[in-house]
Amino acid sequence: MFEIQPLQLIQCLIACLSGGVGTYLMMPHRRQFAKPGLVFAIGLGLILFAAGQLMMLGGSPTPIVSKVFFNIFAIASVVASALMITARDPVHSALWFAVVVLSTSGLFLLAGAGFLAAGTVIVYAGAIIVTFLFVIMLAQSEGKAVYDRLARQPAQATVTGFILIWCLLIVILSNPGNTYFQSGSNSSASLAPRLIPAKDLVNYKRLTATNPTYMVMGKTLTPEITLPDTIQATLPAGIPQPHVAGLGAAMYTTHLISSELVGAILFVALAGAVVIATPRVGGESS
Amino acid sequence: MTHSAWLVPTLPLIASLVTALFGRRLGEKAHWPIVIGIGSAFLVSLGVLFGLDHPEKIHLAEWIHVGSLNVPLEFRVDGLTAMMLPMVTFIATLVALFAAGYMAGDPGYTRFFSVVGLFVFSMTGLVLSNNYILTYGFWECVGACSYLLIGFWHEKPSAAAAAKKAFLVNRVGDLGFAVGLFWLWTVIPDHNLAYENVFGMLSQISEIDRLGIGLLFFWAATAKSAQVPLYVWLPDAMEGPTPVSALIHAATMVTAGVYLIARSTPLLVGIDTMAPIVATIGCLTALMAGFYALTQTDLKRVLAYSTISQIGFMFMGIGSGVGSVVQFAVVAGMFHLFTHAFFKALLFLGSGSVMHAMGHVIDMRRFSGLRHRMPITCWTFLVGSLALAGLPPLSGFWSKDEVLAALSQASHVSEHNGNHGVATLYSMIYWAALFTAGMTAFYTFRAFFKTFFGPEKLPSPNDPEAAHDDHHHHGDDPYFGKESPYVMTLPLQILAVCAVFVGMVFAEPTTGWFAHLVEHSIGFEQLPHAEAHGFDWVTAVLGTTSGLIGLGLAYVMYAKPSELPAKIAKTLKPLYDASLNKLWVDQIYYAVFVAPLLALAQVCRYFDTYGVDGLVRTVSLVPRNIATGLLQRFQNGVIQAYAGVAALVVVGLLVILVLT
Amino acid sequence: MPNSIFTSADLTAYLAIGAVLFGLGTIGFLSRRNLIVMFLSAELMLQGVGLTLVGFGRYHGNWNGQILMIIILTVAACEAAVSLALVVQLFNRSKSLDVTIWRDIREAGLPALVELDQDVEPFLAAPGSESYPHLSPSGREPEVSVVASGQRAN
Repeated sequence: MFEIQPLQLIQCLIACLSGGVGTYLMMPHRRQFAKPGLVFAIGLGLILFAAGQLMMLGGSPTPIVSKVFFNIFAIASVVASALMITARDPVHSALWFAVVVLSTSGLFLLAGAGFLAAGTVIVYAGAIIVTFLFVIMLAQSEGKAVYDRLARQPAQATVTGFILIWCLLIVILSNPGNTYFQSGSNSSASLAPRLIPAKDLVNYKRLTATNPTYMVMGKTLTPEITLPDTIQATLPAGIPQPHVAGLGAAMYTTHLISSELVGAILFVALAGAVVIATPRVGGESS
Repeated sequence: MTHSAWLVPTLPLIASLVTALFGRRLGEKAHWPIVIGIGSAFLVSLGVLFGLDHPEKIHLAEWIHVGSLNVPLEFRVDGLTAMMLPMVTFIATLVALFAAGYMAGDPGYTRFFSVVGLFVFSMTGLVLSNNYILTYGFWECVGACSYLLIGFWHEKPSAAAAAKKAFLVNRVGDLGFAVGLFWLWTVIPDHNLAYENVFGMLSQISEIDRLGIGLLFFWAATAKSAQVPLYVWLPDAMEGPTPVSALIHAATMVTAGVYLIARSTPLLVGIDTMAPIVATIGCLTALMAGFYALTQTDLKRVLAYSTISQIGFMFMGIGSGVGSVVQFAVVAGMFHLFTHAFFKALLFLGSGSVMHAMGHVIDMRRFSGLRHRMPITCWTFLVGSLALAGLPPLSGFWSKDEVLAALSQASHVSEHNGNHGVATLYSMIYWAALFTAGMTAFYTFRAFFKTFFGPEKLPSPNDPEAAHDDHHHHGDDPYFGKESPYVMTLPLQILAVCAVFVGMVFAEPTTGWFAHLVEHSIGFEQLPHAEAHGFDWVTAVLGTTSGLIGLGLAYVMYAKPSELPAKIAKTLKPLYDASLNKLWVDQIYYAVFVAPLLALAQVCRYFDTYGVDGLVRTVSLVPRNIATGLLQRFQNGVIQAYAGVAALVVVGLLVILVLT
Repeated sequence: MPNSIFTSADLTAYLAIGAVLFGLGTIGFLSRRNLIVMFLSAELMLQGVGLTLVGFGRYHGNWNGQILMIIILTVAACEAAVSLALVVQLFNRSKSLDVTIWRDIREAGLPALVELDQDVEPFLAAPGSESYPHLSPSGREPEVSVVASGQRAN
């Protein structure tokens, strides 16, 4: 199973080492003086270098425009998250997190998940981060708290985190389905050969076209994101396939119960938050 | 009316449940459900008795149906049952009524009546059940209820110990019943242990099997009915409340063994060795218990030994069933059981009345001359004593006479069949029984005279004999030294009337009603029987004389204060000590059975503590030391430390995933 | 883009970025002491996971990855609501967002490791004086009685 090539191994190692050192340099320390700007600059540079290594490690979408945007979003998300976890001010952390979310949404968009990209921006950047900022404002003690400027065992944490990243990268790159590096070129092999076993397994073609199982299996096994025929038929001719329609169809047919459960969880969380956050009259918390 | 016999156990059960569930709400009225329940059960059983024309089976439900074992919940009403049911329920009703006065104010009032209802349910069920397995079930219920009632005052260590003793000794006997059942199950071809089936297949059971099963059943009966060698629990059972003693001794418990052997008579008939064994054990028991009773100072204990002795008489009666006497023998034994129930209940309730008036003192050395203070108790007690002594025309006379007559006939029949050894045995038992009858009269009237005659004396804490646990304050007891309330004396008077007449009404020489009833029980018609026994005048005269001699001796020695008893005790010191200490049987049992078991338990305990536990503890040291020495400091309460460990574990999992 | 082919190389890229975001989130969760920043780090980890899911969904050509991401989004919202409520409660109790104060679940008898708060970096105030917008009053100030304000303070 261990099919990774030595070159990749070394690349991974370099990326992780530089990223780790960079992150550590940017972390708060215990030297009684503020870190000079040069140290930050070096740290940031190392992280950028590591991100670049990462880009070389992985592939990127073939069209040149996609490639450019992919690299921009990827590097932005990595760098912004590094800045997020090292920022001294929680407000800055929250803002860097917003950047991470925005660049992740860009990546979603590049992966064809347009609705999800929009949803993430709306829910995260629009709602959750604002809530975070509210709480930060609400709970901020003078804005200069000692614990914001002191990291807890930054060296150990960084080492642990980057060992984790390294392991994950190794696992991803030695994935047996990964033919990219073995062939040494961008293989645009069709999905069909990989899907044949699944077809054989279920043999769904025997079913009639109106059978729900046929529709679900058809969707699952089709490499292109297309609409089921039943919805397609209701559309006026000439109108392009709406993206959200397919997602909604899957969500309210195949994953209906999950959606219901998520709704229930939302409701419970709402009740829980109300109960928890309400100040108790006469309780021990004044 | 016969088909409604299932109501007889059901009504007390319902009453018991009602009392248990709503007892707290009923409070002082907690006895009403039980009195009404058992009382109406008595009325139903009277209906059963008078409406009985032919034996009937009442199939209630399936109970156990496993493979070839089929045990239905089925009742049988025949002569034996129809005779037992009214007796049990009648006495239980009166006892419950009496207890309403006796137990008044006790904190466990509700519990007491609830268990009494259960007790009556178990006993009537035992009498009604139509197969051996159901009988066994009720047999165990009876044992459990007796445990609960003997240990009723369980906070008293002696009561708890007595309850435990009763239960354990009964378990020893129950083992015999269980093994006997298994044996019977294996020898019955279709494994159906219903009575009619077992008795119908007698020809297919070998004689040795029948003897073995019979002996095992008799082993069980010795425990339940307090015979040698398992009688030791009954005297200690006096620790329970006195109405319980009356119930156990008269109606619900000790008669179960006699009933079982009587019921199984068709199974045991024709085995030559069985009957003499039963008679011998009964005779031994009667003699020994009578001997112990001579010197006891505790009124209730005297009565307890007299019960053991009288049950010995019953077994002598049943045991005289050889040859053509079998049917007559069973009738005699069961008749003695029947009459004994009335006068023994009377005597126990009378002693309870005395105890109630004496502030729970029952030692006869601490009170005397109560006949003026407690006239009703005195007269009813006298009637009971006369009946127990077997003087004509009271009930005890008739039944005792029948037992003696059965013994003498057994001797004759054996002689006639050329069985000289057995004949000699039976004549020896006959004379021993006559002697025991004299002893019975003596100790009964000793107790009577010591309690009700002589100078008037009430217990006071200053008595030299006063037990140190005598903490009752007589000042606040409204009944101290006075006659008991009406609710207690009424049952005494009713029972006294019964003790006088019940023998006359049922006895063989007068109406023969009892014999007629019992002979129409399942399997009894086929028992060998001789034609019409005439009234045996010789036995009657001998028995009465023996009783009169005992009575006279007791009068001379105890009616007035005299030096005679002390003198006799000094002259016959070894005998006196032997009687007082009950032949040291308890001590012997302790040394032979209890002490070795305790030693074994001690060995097991040390093995458990140091062997097994030591091993476990040694093993447990390893994780504990690892934990305290190494792992404990990771449990530092910092969330992030835990999360870091989790992250490292994920790393480890990934490494495993990659490398394998 | 939807009609272009998504190769395994693309998938690898997405997975790699997801892994890096996840790892950085772990570092933040482990090292930062501010409760809010810790939760932000946890959300960062969720973003990494989301990238992975979307990449896989696109690679297999079905909607499952996206739907799982939507579910995660919802659960993350719930988590944020509940955890922020908890943060507010904890802040009300200790007047601090420091996570190392809360060590009550440690092994009984074990001493609490006290975080040393000396040798800390100095606080760098932003250069220049703090300036707030000045608003002219828009009307007469309402009169507030002392008793009422006292009650409100309670």
